[in-house]
Amino acid sequence: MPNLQNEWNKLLRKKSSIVLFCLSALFPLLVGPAIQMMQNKFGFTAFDGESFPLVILSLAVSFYLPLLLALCVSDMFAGEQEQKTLSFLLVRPLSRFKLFTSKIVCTGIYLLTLLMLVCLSSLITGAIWLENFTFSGLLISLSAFLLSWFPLMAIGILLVFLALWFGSSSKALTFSILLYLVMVVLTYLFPGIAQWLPAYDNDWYQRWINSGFTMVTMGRTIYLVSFSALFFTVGYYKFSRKEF
Amino acid sequence: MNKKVLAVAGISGLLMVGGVLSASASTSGYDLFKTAVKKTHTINSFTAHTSASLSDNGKEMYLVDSLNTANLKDESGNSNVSVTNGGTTTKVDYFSKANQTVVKSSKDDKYYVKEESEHKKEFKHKEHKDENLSPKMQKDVEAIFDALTKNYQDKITAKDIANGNTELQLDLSKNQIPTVGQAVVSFFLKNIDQRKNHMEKAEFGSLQFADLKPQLPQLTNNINVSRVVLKGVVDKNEYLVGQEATIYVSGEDVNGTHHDLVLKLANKFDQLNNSKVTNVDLTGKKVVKVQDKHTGHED
Amino acid sequence: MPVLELQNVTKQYKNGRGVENISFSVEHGEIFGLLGPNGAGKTTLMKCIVALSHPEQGKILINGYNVMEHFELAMQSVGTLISGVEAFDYLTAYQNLLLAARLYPSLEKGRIDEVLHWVGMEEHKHEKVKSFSTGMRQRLYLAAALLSKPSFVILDEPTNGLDIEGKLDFQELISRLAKDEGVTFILSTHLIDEVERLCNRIAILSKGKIIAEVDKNQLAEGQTFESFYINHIRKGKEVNQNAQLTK
Repeated sequence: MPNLQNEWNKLLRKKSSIVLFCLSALFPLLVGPAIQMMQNKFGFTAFDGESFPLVILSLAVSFYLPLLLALCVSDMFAGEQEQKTLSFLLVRPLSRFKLFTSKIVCTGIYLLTLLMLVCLSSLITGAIWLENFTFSGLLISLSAFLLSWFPLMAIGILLVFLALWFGSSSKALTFSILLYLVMVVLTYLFPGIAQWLPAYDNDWYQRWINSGFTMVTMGRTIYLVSFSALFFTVGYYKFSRKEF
Repeated sequence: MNKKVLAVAGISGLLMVGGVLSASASTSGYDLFKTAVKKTHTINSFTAHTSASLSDNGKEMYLVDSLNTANLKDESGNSNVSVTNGGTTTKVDYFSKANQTVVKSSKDDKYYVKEESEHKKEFKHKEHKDENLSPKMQKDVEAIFDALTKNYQDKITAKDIANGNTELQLDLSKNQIPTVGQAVVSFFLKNIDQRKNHMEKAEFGSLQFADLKPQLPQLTNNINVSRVVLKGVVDKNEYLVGQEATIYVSGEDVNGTHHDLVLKLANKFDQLNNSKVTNVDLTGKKVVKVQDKHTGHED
Repeated sequence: MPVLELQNVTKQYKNGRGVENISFSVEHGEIFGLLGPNGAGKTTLMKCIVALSHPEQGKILINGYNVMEHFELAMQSVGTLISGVEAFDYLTAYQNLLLAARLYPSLEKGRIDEVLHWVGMEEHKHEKVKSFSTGMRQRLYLAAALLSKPSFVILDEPTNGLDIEGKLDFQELISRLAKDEGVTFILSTHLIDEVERLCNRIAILSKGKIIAEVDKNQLAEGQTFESFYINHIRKGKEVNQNAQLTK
């Protein structure tokens, strides 16, 4: 997939991506010692070296990563359309399907990189500054971060589908954030409706840690995968009919 | 091409529905728990056998055992409590009516009686009314509760035990316990010193509060809740007749000694809706009137 | 087999603009000029040819491949410069061309420097497109169009924003490629002198329709593309005015 390399290069050449990568890596490193100080001062242990990465993850999956995803997606689709650069590659021998797929795969790799960066730096923070850092905790954290890729990616694909309807990245971004907030609110007020939305599963790594492979985790996995497939398909359909 | 898109969208849509439905179909243990809680809230009278025990490194250091009968309709009740703290046992009997509380401890043969003023009674009554949420609010609370527990619901196991009862169990290991819970428990254990000073002066007649308060080891380091086991028993009429919580906490004290604390709380309900509250007959007994100390609250 | 063939292509936009029932073909080795006033539908047609727009009716074939069905095959040996398509301005000239080059697997890396040299941009190759003037951008887009050693090049308003020297360089380059390497061109423009100098066949597009088509050999003695064009555009206007008068 030659265009995947193109998309990835484009992403890395943007200053904002580098800044966000650095921030993601720094966040746990800064939060770790700060929390340690607070814990000593107020006398509580909310988490230790073993569970610190999971706490960081729970913060990251609820707001930070969805926001970064929305930024990336709205820029990659609506933004490129706005700047008329999307067609720079489209007038070469590259089918729309390949372009669309490579952009989505690139988003997936971007998300995975962010997750791994946060994971690594929170593991390091946990090992250095906090008590009780264990190997089993390391494994649990790593799997939790990897598992979090799925619901976030489903949200990412939904946001791609939405971004295709907007001609400017700022509009697409605003709408994506609003939609995400609505999904989060629905999760707390109407879980019956929210279970049809991928934001419901943002913290599903906790479900996996709790129950492992059960009927429920299997059902939610099927849901997330088919949700992604559905919005990938309708997204591609919309993209293939777009005019530039 | 349109056909292909439609086919893929259709198949993934169907799978999506299947996934959601199969995931939501298998939370029966949690559903049973919710039904039981709601139903148990409607009872008027009950007999409850409640106990709490605390052990430190396997040695039981505190035990509270009580037998309570309560009638929620006329707000009367009595309970027989025995507290074993570091080997010595204190027994206390409580009798309460709408506006009168009587306490009798095993330390002497006096009956301490506290009458409540009309004003406070009214206040109490109002408070009680507020506890009954409107159906809409109840639904909202239920939804939020559902959302907060969504990752734990399918962890609840249901097992049929004798007499048509069902036992529900939720067993959480360290990494499964929410961070907030960890923080609250460790905060409580670390700051227990300050609470002790304030409470120790409280007394009720001859009854010293210190007799009833457990002597917890002062944990300072590495405090964490390592395991929580919650159990519930639901009878065939869907009443929650048994509850049990076991909380395992580990940590180190100032000297670096490791402590494993186990707190076990259990409650069993009996004779739902047909418990009789027996009242104490004060004639010929040594009665001591007790003034309410917290006068500040009343005006 | 013609290099490019349009059969009854119709594309109407909601605002009433667009092209209607366009048919023509471009043969191997030709430099075909698509001439027309502003707003005649030249860019619409060019966008349809590279499938950025989708015609409601008609077929477009490049080297025999339908661009709507076999886009990659159709575009395999085609270079394009479409007005309104921009390069990534946070990347350098070289990086932009590298993006395009990756989509032609058999292309060697040295080719990027070669085309940059052709358009006189080699000294700006590591500068970001953000800092480029319109003319410099246009040179870069021309380089991108010629990058893949195409046998057929689609150029939409290629000299927009170019200075006099740039225009001359461009014309020389196109003539050389056509003569030496047998590259086929379709060129849309509203500049008659460009057509005069380069093209061997033109079609005149006006208000979304082809109103005339002529080969250089078919021109009468002393007639130029310019006089041919002006005649037809004027005629069109007269016909229009007459029609309005009779109403």
